[in-house]
Amino acid sequence: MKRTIIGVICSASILLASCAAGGNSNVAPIDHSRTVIFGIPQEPPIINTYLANGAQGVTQMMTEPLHDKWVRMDDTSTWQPQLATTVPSLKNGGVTVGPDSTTIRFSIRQRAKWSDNVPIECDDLVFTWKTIMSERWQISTRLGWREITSITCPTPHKVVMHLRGHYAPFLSSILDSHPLPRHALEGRNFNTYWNNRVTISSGPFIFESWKRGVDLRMRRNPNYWNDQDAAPNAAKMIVFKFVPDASTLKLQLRMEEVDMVALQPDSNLPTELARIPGVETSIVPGAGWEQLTYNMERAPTNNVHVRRAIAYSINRQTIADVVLRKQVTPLQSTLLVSQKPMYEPLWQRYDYAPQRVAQELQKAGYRRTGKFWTKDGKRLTLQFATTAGNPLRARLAQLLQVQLARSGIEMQIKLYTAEIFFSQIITHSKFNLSEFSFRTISDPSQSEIFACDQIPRAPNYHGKNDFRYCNRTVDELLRAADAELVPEKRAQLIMRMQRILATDIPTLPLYQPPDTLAYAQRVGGVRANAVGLHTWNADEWTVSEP
Amino acid sequence: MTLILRNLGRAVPTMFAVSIVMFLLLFVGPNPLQQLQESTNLTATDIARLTEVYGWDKPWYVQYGTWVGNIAQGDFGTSMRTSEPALEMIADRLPLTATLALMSMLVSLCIALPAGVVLAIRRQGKLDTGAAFGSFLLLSTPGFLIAVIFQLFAVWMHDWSGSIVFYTGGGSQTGSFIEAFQRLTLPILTLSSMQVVAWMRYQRSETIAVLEAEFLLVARAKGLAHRAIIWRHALRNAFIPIITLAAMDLAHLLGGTVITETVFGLPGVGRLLLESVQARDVVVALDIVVLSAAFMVICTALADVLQAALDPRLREEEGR
Repeated sequence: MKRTIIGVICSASILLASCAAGGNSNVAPIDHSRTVIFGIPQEPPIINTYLANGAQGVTQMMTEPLHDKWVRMDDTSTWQPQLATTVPSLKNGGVTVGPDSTTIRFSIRQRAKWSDNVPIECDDLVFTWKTIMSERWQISTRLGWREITSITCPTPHKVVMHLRGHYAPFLSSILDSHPLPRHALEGRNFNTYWNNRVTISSGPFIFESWKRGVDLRMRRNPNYWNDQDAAPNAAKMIVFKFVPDASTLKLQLRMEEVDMVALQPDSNLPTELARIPGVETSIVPGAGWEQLTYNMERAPTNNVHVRRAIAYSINRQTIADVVLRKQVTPLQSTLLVSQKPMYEPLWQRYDYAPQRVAQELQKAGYRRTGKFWTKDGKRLTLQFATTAGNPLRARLAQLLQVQLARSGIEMQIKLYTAEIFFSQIITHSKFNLSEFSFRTISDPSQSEIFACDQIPRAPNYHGKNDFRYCNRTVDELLRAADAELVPEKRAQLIMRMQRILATDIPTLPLYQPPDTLAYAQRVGGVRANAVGLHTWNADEWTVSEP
Repeated sequence: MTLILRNLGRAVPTMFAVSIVMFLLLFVGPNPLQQLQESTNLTATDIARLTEVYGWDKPWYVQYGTWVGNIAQGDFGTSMRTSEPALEMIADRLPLTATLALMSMLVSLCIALPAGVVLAIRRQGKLDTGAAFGSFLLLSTPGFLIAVIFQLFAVWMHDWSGSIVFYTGGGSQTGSFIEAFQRLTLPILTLSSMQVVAWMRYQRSETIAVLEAEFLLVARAKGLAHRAIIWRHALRNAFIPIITLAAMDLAHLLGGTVITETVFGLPGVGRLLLESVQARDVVVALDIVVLSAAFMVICTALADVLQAALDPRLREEEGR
């Protein structure tokens, strides 16, 4: 009996081991000679980037090689036409304005086609718009698309798009997107059909397979319309390998199990990556900005002099040096450095100046009694909140506490999980000072962040204006800038708005978190992109063997 | 049969209680869509619309009732993240987790049983003292650190040999047995190291107890050789408790796979549970928890049956 039991257990184990080893045994091993293996810590739940569950940045980065867009931003932050023959603008006649409407005209490249050789046409753009606006599908965002009143197709390759009102961010909100193939998707359940596979591509690669938890593979599109300039050793396959642990990813880079990794910012990351032989590292400012949010509806941060005093107490250069070991420099605007000409270093006036702290606090009615400033017998104390589980933010919080204490301002730190932080703390005004980042789209519009109607209020508390900042002049400028299609005039409106913001100081920008990409030297053609899509030029990647 | 029925009788209320607790833990908290504000372009309007679509505005008892009703009809629901059937997602990952758990259990038994016996025979000696020190060291080392140490070993092997001997992580699609060996050896050793010490100490205690039993005194009095006393008489009795303990520990082992699968990037049920909890994919997380509770009940029943099968004295007691 005992021998039987032991025998059964052993046999079951061997059988299970074979099962686990078996897996999808019909999938061929990876041919490393022309393959780029990209290690990613986060696996997307689905790969349809138009749906809510596909809205994360990682999904967009992974699916970028599958989709060409109408226009796209290159590594110099310049709009380039891709499927469109031109980037529509007032200057080239691609954009015309009426009293209460905007018309956008462009042509689609004649040779642009889907991976099944069907031409990409205006009908596909119409289908995309209707799909996004349909209430049947769980679309993540209709930003920009809801401004469209109609799209007409004078010829299969000519597009005439009518928008209500004047809408300046149309490039980033509407045309910086990929078309959906009408001939393949019409009549399908869009909530599920493209979740686990992309059946038809417009880009340089086509979907091959996705084994959840293991990897997603795509191979070179043999019918890619724009492959005439491809290098002889262009990458033939990209494999996105899912490894949740960042330390394991670094080891895998060292062991040549992966060729590329994109990692979250960390103080020691550049040093660690530099120690890996045969690896190049690209560190560029990322598409977001870490900032301190002042709560302008809660004392004492509702006082502009207190806000300025806090700003003067903080040495942002030291923060950049200590927290990220000089990988970044202080950001002096709520816009990114790449967003010229609108970017002006207006927050430079708030560089560390401890001698001005006293002046500002005295204007606010505070007196220095002992170690801290007080007013009406109450110590100047700030409730600081940020997300837990982020070592950089934890370090930043401690540094801020020390710097503020030196200036006589007490700061109490509270860390929350991201869910609680975003839905209960900052939206419900339970802080004086908080720290988190805003992700920036390529357009400089900031209405979602600073407009009065974006302040989170009961009962739903929806809105991104967590500063609770409301300035009617800024509101008018935001609206005017969003409707101004002449770039030079728009830039002026945005710069005027920025100057008022800098004076009112609802926020203190800290830095743009670095975007770090490490890749093996055998991979060529890699160029970092300002909006963080590392795979934006995957068609140019080459693979060389030593 | 009585044992099995008794265990089944306990199973239903246990799983019900576990599911309610887990549901409340997952549900209590804010709308998970809110945190997408930081990492995506979703506007406030989008979040409001999607909250309604995904049902996050419904009361918890409505959502729980829907889930229970579906389970009763054999419908384990659809993942809120991937829109795939939850049961299919779990079934896809189960073989790997089961392999890790069973193989690590086998490895642990192969090490713990003989080691425990040897330490019992040579108790209070230098070997026993050294093993005690080593045990405390291993017991106080967290599982994820053991995993990292093994990974560094893999890197050292790579540097020394010039090729990959063991992988540091990641799953495989090819199904090659050799590749599976290269990928699973270190995770199996990691899991095994988290339990082998406890089992070894337990086996040592059991063996000491058996070695001091009266029936062995009779065997010695009869003049049997020392080796025959140990291997033919003592061990047959000393091994019984640990085998039943292993059967019960199998369910706990599944919990240990969460860390191992995450560090080694293996696509198992443990990692799926972690990802589902982090993403508040309530359906998948609940299904895994309930299935794990059911598995725990089965393991307990199996342990009882094994014990009765291996120890005739228990069968006689049941018969009475």
